[in-house]
Formats: sequence, structure tokens, C-alpha cells
Amino acid sequence: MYKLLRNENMKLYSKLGTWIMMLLLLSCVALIGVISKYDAPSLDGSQWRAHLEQNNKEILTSIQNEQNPKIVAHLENSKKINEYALSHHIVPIDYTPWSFTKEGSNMIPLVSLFVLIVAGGIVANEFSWGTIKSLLVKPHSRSKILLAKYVSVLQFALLLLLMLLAATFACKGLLYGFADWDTPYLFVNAQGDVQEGNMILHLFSMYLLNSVELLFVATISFMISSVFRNPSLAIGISILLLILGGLATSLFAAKYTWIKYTLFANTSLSMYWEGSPLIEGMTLPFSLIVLSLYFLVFILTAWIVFTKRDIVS
Amino acid sequence: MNQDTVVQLRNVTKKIGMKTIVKDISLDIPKGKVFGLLGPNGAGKTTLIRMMVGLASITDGNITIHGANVKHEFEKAIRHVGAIVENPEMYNYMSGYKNLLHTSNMLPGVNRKRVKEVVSLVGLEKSIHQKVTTYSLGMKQRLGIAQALLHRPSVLILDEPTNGLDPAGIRELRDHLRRLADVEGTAVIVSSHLLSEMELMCDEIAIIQEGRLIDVKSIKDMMHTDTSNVTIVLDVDQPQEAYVLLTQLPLDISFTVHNRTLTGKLAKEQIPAVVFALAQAEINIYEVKMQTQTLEDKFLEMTGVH
Repeated sequence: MYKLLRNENMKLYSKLGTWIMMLLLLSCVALIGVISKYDAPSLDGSQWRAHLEQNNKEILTSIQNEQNPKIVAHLENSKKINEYALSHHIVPIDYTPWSFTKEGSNMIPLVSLFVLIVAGGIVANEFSWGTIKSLLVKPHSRSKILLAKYVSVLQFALLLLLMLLAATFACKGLLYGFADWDTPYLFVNAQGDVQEGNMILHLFSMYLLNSVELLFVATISFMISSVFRNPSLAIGISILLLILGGLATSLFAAKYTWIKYTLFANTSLSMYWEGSPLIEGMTLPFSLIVLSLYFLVFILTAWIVFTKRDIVS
Repeated sequence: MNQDTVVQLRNVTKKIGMKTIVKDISLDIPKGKVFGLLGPNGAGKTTLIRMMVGLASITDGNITIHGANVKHEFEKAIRHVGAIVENPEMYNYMSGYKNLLHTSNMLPGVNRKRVKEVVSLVGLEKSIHQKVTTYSLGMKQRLGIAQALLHRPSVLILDEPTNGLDPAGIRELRDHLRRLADVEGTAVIVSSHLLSEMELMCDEIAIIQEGRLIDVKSIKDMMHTDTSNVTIVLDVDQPQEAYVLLTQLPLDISFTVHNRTLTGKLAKEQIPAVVFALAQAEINIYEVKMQTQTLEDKFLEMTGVH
């Protein structure tokens, strides 16, 4: 199995296109970084104490005017974190090189695009090149071969996410200096106490949380690739879903409650942390169940078709 | 079951929808022989090969390789097999060497040394690190054979192996397969629609037509001529006189005259008597030629295509 995965990776990274995609991602990061330096000057690091104190005053007035208890709790946590930072001399993330990395999660759709292109080609290309025949007349079950391909796609996604994380950090650091890079991540635990956590770990898990959509468009692309053996079809449909999926969902969500059973209503899990689900009554377990069902359907379709079909061409 | 049988087909049938592509074929393919599947295009040869290597499902019947059933013990059965189904297809954007590594990673017990060995076996040392895009068809074919031979398979299956090869390439391939069968005892299975090729390459051929097995014959048997009834062609300077003379002989031979040649059917032992009679009558003989039936004639006779 390890060797099958190595093969898939060898094929993937021998392709020029794969490297171009990585280069494009890095260029985008650099471009956005440079533009934002001239367009919107960064926060003045020396002023962070004053800003936090100001922020806390604003939070206090908001709490007094707020009716929703959930939002009140959210605001109180922010206030606690600010106070902790002030008393422990911890520079908040927005004044460190990590701030760009935090914003970098907005670029995850670009990663999704690249990953779905790879996912759409990885099975279908073998058919269009005719190499599928020599691939399948080897002492390995078709399931294992398909699994190796899927894992290879996931690895590529992970690689791009890590690249995005590192590149945004490096970009911000190079443009503004690396001061306070070792600032910890502050959060409020279940008991209501402020805790210090690892910043990199926090940012990466935030990326993963924002990558549910990525996982699904990649899986859909992989499925179409395996069922229709046509890379263009797989990539086209998946791009369409990537662009329109979330948009259409939020458009219809206001009108129809059954939207909550659709895939894209459930992919942005961060809505539960921010305390504002798309449709009233949706919960994290609900979303996880819906997502698992979709995942199962996509994966089973891909697997059954791939393992049963006669290789004709 | 014969001890030498490596690949065994029993009542193998393939149906796609209502259409029967292969019907009830049973074959025993022995080791150390080059075994040909011969038949016109669309006869079901490729489908049969696809079923042997697990690319197509078997509707009915069983195929076993070294006793392992392709249907139920695929990984065990295919371990012994090296195969090229139709054209050898490569990852064109990678070097030949990387293509070989890719294959070797999927096969048990193939190390780098063996990869090198196979490269020199097919004579690709010079170009092995170039991208496959730059290869000629013949080179691709050789790379394909290198891939198929990496794990020293005891069964080598090649579908239309000579497609696109020049005469030198075909000859090279033929010698190679011959050596594999004779020296290594490999069971080589090739398919082709070209008779002349099969005649030179194979020890035994199975003739397939419209999905059915017509006959299995060894090339020797097919080429064997019945000496009691051969056709000879005589080229003489006085055909009419010769005709009259020969019909008067007490040999019971019927001749036909065509320009300067006489054609007749007779037993092989009678030929000297014919020649002697003509010589005695001072008829000049320029050529006496025995007309052997070609494999093609036999094939057409067997398949009933004229």
C-alpha cells in the first residue's frame, strides 16, 4: 500500500502542472501581501495595549445593549482574553506575523480549486492515457489502487494548506519583520478560564475546519473522475459546485428550511463556533451526520463503479 | 489436468447485455510454449485476454493461472502474469526509468538491480532516462516488454504484440519470445489476426471465430503435408505433348494445362516417374514445383471464409 501511494505521488509530482499550481498559490500569497502593504497599512505594533483597552470599553457598551445571551457570552470571552493579554504582556495575533495567516483562510477556496483539479484527473487520466490497463493487471486489488489515489489527493491538499500557512507567515514576516512570532494563542476553556495554546496548531486546525468544503469538492471531483473517466467533466462540475454551492445555499436558506439537508449548508462548520448557524435549529452533530452521509454516498459510488467495471478502451 | 498446464480456461463465456462475445471456450496452455490466439478482428481474442488478466469480468466459466482462480484469487493468480493489453501505454511525461520504477513498485520481489537488468535485456540503456514522449513506437514496445518481464513472470500475455512494429522489430520480438519459452519455460500467449506472423512465432495456435473456439493445432501438424496427395506444377517447353504423354501413363493422374505449365495432383512417390517419362520423350523441363498448402489456405478452409 505504501508503495502504491509512492507511485501515485511520483506520477503527481512528475507533472509540470502540479508545480505550476504550487507556484501560483505562492504567487497569490505574495501578491496579496504586497498589495495590502501599500493599500492598508498594518496595525502599529507599539499601540496594541491602547487598542485593547479601547476595544474592551467598546465591548462593555455592546454587552449592555445586547439581548442575545449567546452573543453576550461570546463578547465576555473576548473581554476576558483581552484582559489576560494585557496582564500577561501577550501581543495579540493581529500585531504579529501570524495575522496574515489568519486572513489566509480566505484563500482556501483557491486551494480547493487546485485540489479538485488533481482529484478530477487522478483516475480519469489513467483511462485517457490507457495506462489503466497496466495499472490493474498487477497483484493489487482495485480498491487498494483507488485508495492510494484518494490518499494521494488528500496529501496534496494537506501540502497546499501547509504551504499556505507557511507562505502567509513568511510573507508577512518579510514585509513587516518577524517580531512577536512566538505569541501564544489565547482561548477560554469550558470552565471560563483563559488558556494559552500553540499558535501554529490553532491556525492549522482553523484551516482544517475551513477545509470541509475543500474535502467535499475534491471528493465529488474524484467520484466523477472515477465514474465518467473524463477529467474535464469532473473538474468542470466541481468548479461549478465550488463557486455556486455556497452561494445558492445561502440564497435559498432564508426561504426554505429543507436546505439544511443539502451538502453546502453544512460544510462551513465554523458557524457553530461563531454561534450563528445558517438555519435556526442546526447543530454540530446534525451537520456531522449529514456530511458523513454525503461522504459515504460519494465514496461508495466511486468505489463500486471503479472496482466492478470492465476496462474497455 | 496436464502437469505442464499453466493457464487453464474452462467453459469461459462473456456476455455483454444480450450479446455473447466469447462462447464456452476451454483451453489448456502449457509452459514453455508460445501459444497463439488467432482470429479475425472482432473474434473475441482481446476480450478473452482481458478476462485472463482480470480487466473484464467473466460471465461464466473459470480461468485459473497456476491453480489460482482469476475470479476469486485475483492477486494470487495475476502475480505470475506479465501482460501488455493492446498497445503498451506509458506515462509519457516521465522517463522510461520512472515508468519502470512505477511498475516495479507494484510487483513483489523486484529490486533496482532487476530493473537495470531488464533495461539492458531490451536494449534501452541509452534512452532510459529520457522522457517517454521522445520514444518511437518500437522503443515504447520494448519498454512495455521490459515492464511485463520485470518480475520474471511464468506467463506472458501479449495482445497484438506486433502492431506498429517494423519488420526488424517483429523479428526481434519473435526471437525474444522464443528464447523466453525455450530457456525460461515461460508460457507465452499472443494474439494476432495475422497468420503469417503466427506461423513464425507460435508452437500452437487456437483459432477463434465469432467468440467460439474452432480448433487448437500445433504449427507442425498444420504444416504437415499429406504425401499421398500433393499438387505439382510443371514448367515445360511442349505442354501439349507433355499433357498427352502424361495422361497416357498408367498412373491415374489428371493434369490441366495452362500456358506452359501443367498442374496435377498425385502421390509424392509418383513424381520421379513423371519426370522420367517427360525426359525420355525429350520434353525439356524447366521447373518441377510442389505446391504446398499455406497456413492461410488451411485457416480459410477451417473458418470457412473464402
